[in-house]
This record gives sequence, structure tokens and C-alpha cells, in this order.
Amino acid sequence: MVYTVALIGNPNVGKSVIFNNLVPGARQHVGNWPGKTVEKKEGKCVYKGTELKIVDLPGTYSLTVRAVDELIARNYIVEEKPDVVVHIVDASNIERNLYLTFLLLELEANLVIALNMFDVAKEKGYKIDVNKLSEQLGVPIVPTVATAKEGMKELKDEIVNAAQKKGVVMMKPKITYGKKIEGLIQFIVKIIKKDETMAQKYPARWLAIKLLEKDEDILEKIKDSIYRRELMEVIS
Amino acid sequence: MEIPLAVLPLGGRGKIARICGGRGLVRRLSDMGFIPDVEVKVVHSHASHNPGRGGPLVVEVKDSRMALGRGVAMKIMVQELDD
Amino acid sequence: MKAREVLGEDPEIVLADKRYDSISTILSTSLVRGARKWTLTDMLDKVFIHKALGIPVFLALFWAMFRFAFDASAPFMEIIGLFFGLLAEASAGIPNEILASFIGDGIFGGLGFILTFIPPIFFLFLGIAILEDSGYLARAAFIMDRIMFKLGLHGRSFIPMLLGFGCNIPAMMATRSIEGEKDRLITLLVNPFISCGARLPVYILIAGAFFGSMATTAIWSMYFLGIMIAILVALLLRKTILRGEPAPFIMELPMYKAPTFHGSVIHMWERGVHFLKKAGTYLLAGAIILWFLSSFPWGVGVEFSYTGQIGHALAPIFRPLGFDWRIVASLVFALLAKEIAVEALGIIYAVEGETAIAGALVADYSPVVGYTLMAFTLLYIPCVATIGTMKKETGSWKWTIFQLALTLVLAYVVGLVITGIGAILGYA
Repeated sequence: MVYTVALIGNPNVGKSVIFNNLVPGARQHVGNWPGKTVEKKEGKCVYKGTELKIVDLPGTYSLTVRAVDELIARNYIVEEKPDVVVHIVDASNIERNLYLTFLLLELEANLVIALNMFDVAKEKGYKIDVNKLSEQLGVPIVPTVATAKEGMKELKDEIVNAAQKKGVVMMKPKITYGKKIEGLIQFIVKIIKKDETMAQKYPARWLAIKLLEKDEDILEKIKDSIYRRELMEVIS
Repeated sequence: MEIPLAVLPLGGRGKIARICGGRGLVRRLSDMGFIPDVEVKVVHSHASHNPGRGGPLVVEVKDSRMALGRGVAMKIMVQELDD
Repeated sequence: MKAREVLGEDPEIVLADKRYDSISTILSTSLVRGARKWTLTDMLDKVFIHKALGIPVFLALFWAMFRFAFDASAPFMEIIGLFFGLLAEASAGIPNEILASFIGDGIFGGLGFILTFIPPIFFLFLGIAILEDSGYLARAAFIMDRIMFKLGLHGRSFIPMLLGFGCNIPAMMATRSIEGEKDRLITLLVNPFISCGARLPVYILIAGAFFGSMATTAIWSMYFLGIMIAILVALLLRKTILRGEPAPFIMELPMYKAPTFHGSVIHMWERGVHFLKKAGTYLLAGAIILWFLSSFPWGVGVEFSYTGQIGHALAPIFRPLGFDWRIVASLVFALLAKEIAVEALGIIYAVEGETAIAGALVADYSPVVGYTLMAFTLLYIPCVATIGTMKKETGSWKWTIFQLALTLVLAYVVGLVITGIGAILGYA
């Protein structure tokens, strides 16, 4: 069994250190994302008999289409549908880092969070209730100190766990954004579900949110749908 | 009264009221945590007598330090907070 | 249902708002912030981004980094040079003359030359990795933003410019952190004008030969000229084909942290190996091609080899600059790596050692031609490896070829200007 695992996170959170912890140097492979000049780093590692293909996505603050890096990360998750997405969060800067977590949850990625730089957070005097946080987000969280290789085993455990659970347990979104917006989202989702190709290709809720945000890339992608006008009417 | 973030003095605090910019800038700033009602504090500032022309400044927002160019800082409108 | 009506404002803003709201709520029950915060970082920043001290501190740090890179790598360079020298000698024993030359001069000679530069490049990458991992590099971009803005560039463009003084290749790779596409393109296009380390041996040879006590000044003038041209071309590009404002400067300043040896070495290694693969491929191919062009037709000597023929063929174009076939031929050699021009001149004049080469140059050319040659070396087409990097970083032949044309034309024009001024001032 080979599972694909994507690594994602803000710049400066120690993502590459984690990548190097998971994939020994010899098994790393650097190429190019097709059609782009940004490097694609990937590698394989074997854990407890399972083979994990790990892809290091470019460091990014969000998943809008502003920069090449972000588009690559987003498209990879939407189109390649990796089995697990590991979001590496800087524990000492958690509030802003979680913004990306929310975007990933909207994307319905099969998420595992590596709460990295846990030592720095402690030094800063932060106290994080990891269990509570995990419960509220509905996502498994592993505290790590990548530079000291702490938490790596637990992380791999959670990755394999999550990979095996994918598609078996349907996760309902734990996070909602208030009655008004949710109402709008549901309204749009209903229209989206009428278009079979769209509904199959993209997670409906995520698509609805992107449409509300007038995301350029998505607007381009629904250009050919017969429901385009109906959708445009709602969001314009 | 709303003033641009660029005008806040060193050590000054403000609450973001709105962003005067195009969609791209607004999105970019909100990705980084600059949204209405969020509190910011000026940590470093290369001020000059003309606030629109000084060097960039550093503000503390949501646990992190963000460096902003003057042009950007002029477009973030804040309510100054007194201590 | 219409989104705007239901929400009363732009859905995008509402969504961002709600997300942060949710985050706050969740964190209110699971996070307790500490009282101890940013003290060390703030203290360091008071110095590093100080209005007056910031830039001198920055220059000092970078100078230290370059020194470190070149000093630490010197012994390694010696070893590699010796090793390949031995290999080249050993291959002289191969019975087939052509094969011996191919392996000895072409492959080992070329490879050896290329590989001697690996240590300084790797150490340079290490230095950068340490500065980057510590969090300092973000501050450097921050300090320089004001100046860069006046030049129509982004603060982040400064680091690649500075790295160019060591080698243009890691410099161009460093442009990846620049967000605006036009900003990045401009930074890439003008980077070769920054005088890289490879050009220094050429300056030293020529300036030493022609300018005696003024040699150091002459060399400094090259660095200055490179910077001026880079700035002017950047401004010109900004006003013409790459119009627009630099991307807004919004950058996170991470807390300072002690870079781990492990982490920095990994970063160095990644970049270094990548550089090796890319630059190395071009250099090896280039070395073989150049060996071929200068060794064949077999046995006739450099002047009548293909390289010599190319030199003779192109010489008329360069006559206004005072270059004869020998100089043109050495410039062709230098496409491989600019420092090769020195060795090339040695081969062409059939002399060995810098003093001998210097003597030959002074005998044949005037100081004006010498200075023109220095400027030409600075400005003309970047070395093959840089061209390859440009193609890789832009993903476009169009811009790579544009850069080739730009550098060549600029070099020629500046050469003419210098020759002209020289003539007016009365030198032949």
C-alpha cells in the first residue's frame, strides 16, 4: 500500500526539517512542478510496512491564487487528492498559522497537524492544550520539535492512521461560519450538485466558498458549466 | 477617528478599521491577519516628518511581527488606542 | 438569493472575519499566552534594523560571510586543483593522442576547473543558510527596501544583488523569494551586471599589466560600473517593458533563533547539489565543446583551430574596440567561465604564468584596450552556467535570449564609449 502524503505550512515553520526527518536524503527527489519553475521535492519512506510517498508543497500563507506557490499547493490538493495532508504549524505563532488550517479544512483535506517548534512556544511561556485543540478542530494533532527529531514517530503513526481512515469515515465539517454565510453556502452547494462534472471534481462546500470569494481560478474553471449564470447571479 | 497605520508613533497601538485597497491587497493582508477589529502595535519605525515617505515599519499582530512598506501602511486605516 | 444582499458586505471579508473569529474562540479555551515574549528578538532588532546602524551592520555581516566562504574553501580548492592536475597528467600517458587530450584537457581539465569552484559556492550557500535560518535575512530585505523602492525594486531584490558579488548563479536562485513576477524578472535580468567572483582574476591580470599603481582603482571601478549599470537598466526596464509598481512590501519577521548545524547544512546541501547538477551539466558540456573547438583541426595550433577561426571571423566586428582575434578567441573561451580568459590568453600566446601573459598583453595593446577589455568582460554575455540558470529560473527562452542580447549590446556600446573617451583623451 502506497499512500501519498503532502506537507504544507507557512514559510519558516520548519517544514523542510520535517521533510528531511521523514525522508532520508538518498530517497529524496527534486524535480519541477509541471510548467513551473518552482521546485517539487518528494521522497519515499517506509513505516511499519506501509510505504509513504511524501510531497513537500511550497511554503505558503494561504491558498488564494495570488502567487505561483499557493496555486501549486492548492491545485495539488484539489486535483491529486493526496491521502493525507500534514499541516505543519508553528506552535509559537499559532493564531495566524491556523488560518491555513481552516482553508485546508474547507478543502476537505484529510488533515493531520504537526504542532512544530513546540519548544519555542514553551520558552515563550505558551501553554497549549493539545487535546482540546484537536477536539475542537476535529483533527489529530502531534506536538513536534523537528530540529530535535521529537514527535516524529508519533507523527508517522498519525499519518498512517489518517491514511487508513480516509474515505471510510466521512468527516462532517466541525467548523461553521454563522447562519447567514452557511445559508448562502448551502444554497450554492445545491446548484453545484446539479452539475455532475463539477460535483465530482471538487468538494462542493469548498467550491461554494471560493465562488463567494470570487476566486479567479475557480471562476475560470466554471466558465463552461451550464449553471454558470445561475451561480454568477448569486455571487455578483 | 481613523488614521493610517503609517502615522502611528513607535509603540502606538491601533485597532484596524478598514483597508483602503484593491481586492488583491485586501486579500493579501487578511491572509496575514490584518482584518478589521484586530489590534496592531508599532514595534519599529523608521519615521520621517512625512509619514507617507518614511521607511518600512514593523508591527506586532497576532503573535507575529510583520514588516510593512510605507505604501501599505498608509492603506491600513486604524482607530488609535490609548493606553 | 444574492450574496451581497444577505451579508451586507463583501463575502470575502465576511469569510476572513469568520475564520479568524472561529480561531479566536477555539484558542480561547486551548491556548494560554505567556508573559515572556519577544525580548531577545526585539533587542537584536534594535541594532539590526536601526536607522543608522542597520546598513553598516549588514554590510559587515555580508563581508564576513564572503570572507568566510572564500577563506574556508581555499584549502579545498587547492586539493581539488592538485587532484585534477594529477589526473590530467596521468591521462597524458594514454597512447591515442586525441583521446589523451580529450580526457586530459577536455574532461579532467574542464571538470577540474569547474569543481575547484564548488567549495566556495557551497560555503557561500552555508553562510546564506545560516543567515536565513537565524531569521536575519528578512531583516536585511527590510532595511534595504527603502532604497530598493527608489530603484523600482522590492526589498527582497537586494539579497540576490548582493549574492551576485560572489556568484550570479546562487544569486539568481535566490530570487525565488520575490513575489512580484516583474520584480523578479528585473532582478534576474540585471543580476549578471553585478561583478561576480569569476571576473576578478581577469581584472587582476589586466589591471596589473596596464595600470601599475592605479590597478586597484581600476578594479574597483569595474565593481562600481557594474552596480551603476544594474541600477540604470533596472530603472529603464521599470519605465518601459516591465512597467508597474513593485509588489507591496509585506513580510513576516520571524523570531531570531539559533540556526542548527544540521538544519543549515541541509539547506546548503540542497542548494549546492542543485547548483552542481544544473551548472555542472552546462559547464561540462561547455568544456567539451570548447576543447573540441580549440583542439581541432588536430595539430594546427590555436590560431588555426576552430576557436582561432571563430576569433578571426569575429575580429572585424570588434576592431572598433581594439580587440584582435586573440582577445576575441579568449572571450569565446570565457563563455565557459569568465576566469578562463586568463588561461586562454596563456594558451593563445603560448606563454605560462601571469607575468608572462601580462607582458604579452602590454606588448600588443594599449591601456585603453585593456580597460575596454575589463569592462567588456564585466558586461558581456554571462557564463554558460548562468545562462542555464536564467533559463531555469524564468522557464523562458525569450527572456534568456533577451538577456544575452542586452548584455552583449551593452558591453559593446560601453566598450565603444570607453574607446571613444580614450581617443579623445589622446590615447591610441
